[in-house]
Amino acid sequence: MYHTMAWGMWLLAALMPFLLTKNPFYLTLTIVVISVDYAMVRRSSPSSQSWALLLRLGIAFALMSVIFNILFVSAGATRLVTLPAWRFDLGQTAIQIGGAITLEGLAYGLTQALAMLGILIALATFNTSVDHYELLRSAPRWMHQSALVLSIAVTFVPQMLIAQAEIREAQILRGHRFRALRDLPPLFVALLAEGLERSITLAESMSARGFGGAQPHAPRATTLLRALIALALFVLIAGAVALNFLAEKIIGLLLLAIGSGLLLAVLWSISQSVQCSRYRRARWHSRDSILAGASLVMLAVLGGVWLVDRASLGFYPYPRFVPPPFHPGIAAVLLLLSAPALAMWRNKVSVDD
Amino acid sequence: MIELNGVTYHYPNQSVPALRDVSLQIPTGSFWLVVGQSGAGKSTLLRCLNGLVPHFYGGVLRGRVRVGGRDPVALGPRGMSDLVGFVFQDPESQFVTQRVEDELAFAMENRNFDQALMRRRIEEVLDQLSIADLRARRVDTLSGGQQQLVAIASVLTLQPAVLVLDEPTSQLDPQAAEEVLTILQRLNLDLGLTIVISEHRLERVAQYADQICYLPERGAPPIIGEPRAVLSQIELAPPLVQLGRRLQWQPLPLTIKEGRPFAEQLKARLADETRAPTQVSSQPSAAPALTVRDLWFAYNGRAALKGVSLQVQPSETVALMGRNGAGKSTLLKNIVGLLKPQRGKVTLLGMDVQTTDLAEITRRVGFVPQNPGRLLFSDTLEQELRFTCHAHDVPPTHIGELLSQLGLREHSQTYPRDLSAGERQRAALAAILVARPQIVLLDEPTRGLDYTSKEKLRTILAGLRQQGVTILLATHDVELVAQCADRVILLGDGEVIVDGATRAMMTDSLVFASQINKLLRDDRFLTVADVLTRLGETP
Repeated sequence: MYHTMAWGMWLLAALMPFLLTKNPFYLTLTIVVISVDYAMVRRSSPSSQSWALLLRLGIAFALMSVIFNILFVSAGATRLVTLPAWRFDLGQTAIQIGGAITLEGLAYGLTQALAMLGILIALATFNTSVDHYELLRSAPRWMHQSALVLSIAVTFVPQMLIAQAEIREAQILRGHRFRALRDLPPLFVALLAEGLERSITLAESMSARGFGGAQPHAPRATTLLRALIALALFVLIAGAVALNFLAEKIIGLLLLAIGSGLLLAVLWSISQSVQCSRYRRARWHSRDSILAGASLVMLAVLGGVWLVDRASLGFYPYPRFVPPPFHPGIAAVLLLLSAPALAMWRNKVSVDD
Repeated sequence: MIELNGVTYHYPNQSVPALRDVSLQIPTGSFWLVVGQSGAGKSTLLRCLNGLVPHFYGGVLRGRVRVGGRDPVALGPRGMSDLVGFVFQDPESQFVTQRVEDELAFAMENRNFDQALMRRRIEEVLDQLSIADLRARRVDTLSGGQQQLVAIASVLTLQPAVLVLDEPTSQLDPQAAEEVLTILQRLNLDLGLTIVISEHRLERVAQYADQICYLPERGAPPIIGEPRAVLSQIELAPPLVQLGRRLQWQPLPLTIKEGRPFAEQLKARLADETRAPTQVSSQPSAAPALTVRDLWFAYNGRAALKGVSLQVQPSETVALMGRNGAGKSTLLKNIVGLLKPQRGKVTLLGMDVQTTDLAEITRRVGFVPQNPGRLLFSDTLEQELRFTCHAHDVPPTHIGELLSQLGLREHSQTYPRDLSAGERQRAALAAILVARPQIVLLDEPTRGLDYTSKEKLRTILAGLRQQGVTILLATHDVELVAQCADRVILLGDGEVIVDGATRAMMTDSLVFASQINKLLRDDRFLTVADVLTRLGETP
């Protein structure tokens, strides 16, 4: 439906609230909005089933993180309930499980869980709607092979999740019960073997269709390129160290610039040997401009607020819980993320269009 | 076009060669069929033609291979990709991209073709294979047959002179397989493309081949010749050819059309016999082993089963047939309690499946999935069977006996995934049967099996039936159904279309009928054994 780059901008905008704010109101609102987007795109995407499995896993992890936080962190002034406590001494430090369950601990755990869940829903929406191969075509030429591997891996995960479900069913019907970690080998060994078999077929198919098109460099040139990459990385690390530990920041910045320049030059040189062309670039429609525009507006406003008035986005429940601020203007900007859902609802289009 | 001289190949760390002293010449524009039992070296031979062997697998290759004057051993698969197109067994696992048009462009992008050339080639190939309507579709939304056509199209865009296909129809239903083979024949006739294909189901493809190359067993020299000549002397042969050989028909018929003149004479011989049913279905008993009543099931709102009702009697063998997507696997999963129906009721051995614990159901019902690899994970076959015994709390006392019955005794200490396709299928069956289930459900049990493996499976199923086991099998394999099933239930779009005795149902159908039944159109004769028995000969 949308151009891959427009979806990419939407993804950046959707991830931004989870990186810049801990305010549970904004986090919840963002999750609601992108969940509506996800619900719309998943209706017409065949890969949605496997992402739904990942989302369920994410929800379970998020709940676990809340439970973990309230059981392990007893700090906070507003006590909700007191549980029996177990204390484990570990030399100079100690871990306590249970004890006082506080509103602050609960609020902090929920905030973390919301951020984790939100990022997962944003990624699920992006991956369910975007064409990964089209995304690959947008990558620079020197990244082609590694980006292709990444693109295959992204499509491989849902296939393996489906295989996992089928293996699990087959083993259950054989009488096996999955109750503890020791019960997992029948699932994972079979899954690993199937994954390897599938990978071999795919690799054969790619080789048979001419994949691996880089013109080989002469051995001496290959050694030189490797040495230059190592040198560039060394200069970059030295720059980072200098920037942090030397009073003269200019030395660090200079080293970082030299290291980056050298690395880019080497990568450009490698890209010249990669032989591949691109079939087509997807057309950019007015709807893509609307989505990209809405995403940019959101990025600009949220980024601006973060630079100018960081406190209005922040939230820290300790030591005593105080309800976080809520600005309708920021909430309105977050609603811009609903652009894909609105367009799909109005035009009755699917991700395949 | 293709020349192999004294080719011997060893996989790494293998003492027995996969190919031994193979020499053959394939002329330009010919259609070659490579046949042989599982593990005979068919795939290895095909992979020599584009350099996947030895480049991809390692090992040692001796001898000379030339394809279109090029040496695949020196150039490797990439260097051969514009000359040899290679299509694999499972279309789904060879796709790199998500959309048909991108998949077609992939090989050309790798060879740095310019945009205009790519567009032109893609248009041509879409038209050649009559799949232009699929261009914007996602590959995972296509049927098996469409996926295999896209896989073929994806290699044709480089305009190779040779097309090599490794069992391209083994994962397809009969109609989809027919579509693919018709297209291959057209490519061979219209474009003069040299085609080399390996295939188990010879009744589908023998008629198209100019030459057959038979690989008898691992490492033995091949038998090469015209289809009739080779099929008259090898163990693997379709039922029509088997009958022709037994009745000494000359020339040996490869198609029903070629068999018609012989069939007329045969009918005259058989007409004197008293017409009597040769197979009697199990008598309905008071308590059916399985009852399905008005079963409805949907995936995400899309109906997969629409009011299915059926009954299976104890020790009856029933075949579920129908196209891919007709609802066969969904029905099996509902029967065994893996899926919960939206409406309707399933009663299995007196248990209401919806309210009975799955553990209780699986104790009495065995389910062999479509892909036997989904069950096998242990280091040895014996451990695999012990694992099932442990899961069901059954003493592992008859493992040896069962492995002997299934012809797997010598593999008891073998890693199950190292077994051939047929052995793997029997290993999965053994892993289920060791718990002595009263009902066995099998999902596509003959997928990818050669005739010998299928015959062994048929014998096993017959043995189970004699032991009183009820069998329900979902299959496309009409020959297996003709040999084993008392009754056929034909599903179409989630509904029961036909439910009747195998003989009546096959005789009434043009598609779901065995080769012998198609030839004679008589409900007394479904298999070669039926005809020979009637003629007083030993089957």
